[in-house]
Amino acid sequence: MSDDAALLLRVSVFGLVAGTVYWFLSYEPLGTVALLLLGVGPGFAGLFIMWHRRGEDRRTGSLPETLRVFAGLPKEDPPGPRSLESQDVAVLPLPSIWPFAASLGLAVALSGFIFGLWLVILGLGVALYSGWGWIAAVMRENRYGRVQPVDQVAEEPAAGRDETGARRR
Amino acid sequence: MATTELGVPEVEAGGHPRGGLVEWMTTVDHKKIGILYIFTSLAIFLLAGIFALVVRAELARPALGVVSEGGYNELFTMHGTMMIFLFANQVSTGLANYFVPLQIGAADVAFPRLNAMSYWLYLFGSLMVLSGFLTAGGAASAGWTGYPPLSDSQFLQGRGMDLWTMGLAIVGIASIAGALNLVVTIFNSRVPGMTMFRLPLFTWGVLVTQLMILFAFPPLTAALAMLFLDRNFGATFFNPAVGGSPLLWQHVFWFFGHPEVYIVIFPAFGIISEVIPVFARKPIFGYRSMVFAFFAIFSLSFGVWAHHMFTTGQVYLPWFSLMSFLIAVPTGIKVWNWLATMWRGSITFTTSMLYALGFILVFVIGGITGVFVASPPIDFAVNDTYYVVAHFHYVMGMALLFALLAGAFFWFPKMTGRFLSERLGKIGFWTLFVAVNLTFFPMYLLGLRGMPRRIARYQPDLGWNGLNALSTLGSFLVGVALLLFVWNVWRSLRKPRTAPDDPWGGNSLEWVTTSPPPHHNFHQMPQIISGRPAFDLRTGAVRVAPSGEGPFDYRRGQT
Repeated sequence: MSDDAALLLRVSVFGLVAGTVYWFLSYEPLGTVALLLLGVGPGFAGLFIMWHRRGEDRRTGSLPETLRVFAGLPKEDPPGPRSLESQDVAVLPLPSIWPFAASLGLAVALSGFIFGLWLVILGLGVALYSGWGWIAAVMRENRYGRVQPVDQVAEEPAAGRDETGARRR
Repeated sequence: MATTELGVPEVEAGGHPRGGLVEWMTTVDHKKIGILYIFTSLAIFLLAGIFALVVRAELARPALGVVSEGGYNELFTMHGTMMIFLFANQVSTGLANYFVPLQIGAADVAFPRLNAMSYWLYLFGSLMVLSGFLTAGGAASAGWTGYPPLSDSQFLQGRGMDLWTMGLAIVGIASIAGALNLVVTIFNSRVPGMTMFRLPLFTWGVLVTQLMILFAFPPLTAALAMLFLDRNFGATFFNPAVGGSPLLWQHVFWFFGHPEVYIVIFPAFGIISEVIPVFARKPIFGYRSMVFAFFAIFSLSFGVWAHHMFTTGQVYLPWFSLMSFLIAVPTGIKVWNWLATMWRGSITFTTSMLYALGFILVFVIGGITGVFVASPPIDFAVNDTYYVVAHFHYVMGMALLFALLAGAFFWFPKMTGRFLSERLGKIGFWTLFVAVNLTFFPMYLLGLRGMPRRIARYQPDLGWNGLNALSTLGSFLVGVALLLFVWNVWRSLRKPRTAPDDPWGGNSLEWVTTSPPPHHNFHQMPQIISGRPAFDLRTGAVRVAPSGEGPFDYRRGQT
């Protein structure tokens, strides 16, 4: 079991135990449900991570080892790799106006519930258009890569400032 | 018609094109977004601080009349709302944004654009909450806890309260998105060799904070939605006349609200756990117990919400009292660990270290009085008095402020390449330390003498006059100390960059890179064999991971 899953599962066990004990002490439904949900939420996340990392566990984790991790006992940490050459450490995304625009649209749309339907329509329009732009940008990046080769950059210095996405190709 | 961002070719060394407003609006760099978060939340902090000064000015004398009583309600409501939701939560998110990827050796957070969206939602949500002041009825005035029936449309008309509700819901969505992002980043973007139990404690603090946000903010959003429906669309969740219950709000709000206080203070714990080992020149004492204390508090904090509701008579007192007492145990473990870290260390009293020591004192004064009010008999006596106000200002407000200032003096050279003035900083520290205790300690006594919270005026013959005047004097001194800090920052920013990469002899990875870090964070990365990679590198235990020729290049595919 990986450390992150173990930590979440411990919180989950607390929620389930506390919820059960609380019910028999108080017979109060709301608090019981809340505590049991604390068991369910981190429990789901912990189990998901466990399932997601099951490949690693099969290589390293026997049942006693898993129990040791769950109990919080220290295990031997491996040394870091001598070289990072083979690791896919970072690909940085390009600047984008869409997070700003989508947030603005969403905020305007929600304020429309106070000030009037027209704001909801306006805001949703902006938000949907931004979402479309956002997804399109991601699709293009998947297709062409997130960065352009440097030699190509040198050929087109003029396009450099156009981060707003207003220039169309 | 889809538009494209492919036409942004400027990716030469150093990353982003340098520019003005457009660059900040379109940035997805975690460091820039972190700075945006920090600046926005500090602006909100200063505004909310001014509100607090007006509140204190009003209370200096029994019936001064600086503001109207309605205006007073708006001011203390907005002071609390802004300090808790729009400042305390978010300034730590800003620091986390800046330093977590650096500390785990990542080039950015896992979802950089979602990160940008979190920030903008936070900004627009905050503006929405603040815009209540521009409406005819004024801003929200039901207290930062917004209890119905007071916050229901029957007693509180006007759009200020609706803007408060909707604005906070948006900030809540922003927080959840930001939390997802940081959790995934810490789980998945660590540099090889950086195992979970080698993470710096600041990153641990942020991780646990963000996990708590994930489980605490959805109930808040639900509560706000119910309140909004009650106010505007005729729902009756909190209306007892037709089967609703005002207590439902209190339950759901505090199921969020109690974890929230740990959400506020955990990053502060993290900062202190970074600062003390560096300036005591020892590794942190009890690293694992620190981590498990984080998770013990995480678990317990979700089981104590009804200690805010002891006096409602509708909750099972022994359970919530016991849980509240228990939560002091892991918290105490942390305090002892900090003390044990300093034990026999060779301590240098930099401003950062002074603030860290101040944090421990202020936090313990606030924390111990919290243990008192966890006992129902005492809570019944002091509930809703200034005793509680003093308690949470010490344990949450001032402790966070001290930790943030410790972090500011510690990390400012890393963020800007410039040092803050130590001399001004030390003057500021002593001013602030005296001022804080002058402001908030009298409030304990006022509370024990029965002064209730949230009143604008009081009778002159109750024995509250002198203590209130003292508290007001202290609060203005706090303002002076903070202005000193602002001046210190402004002054430093105009000086040339003189800070080296590792001015303090730090432990974690952010001290390996340049000050300020490049766009892609690291030119080179040491092999990671312990929880103190910068220390290992400095002492020659490891070398920079070789990568063929020259420093390791992160911008794969570009060179």
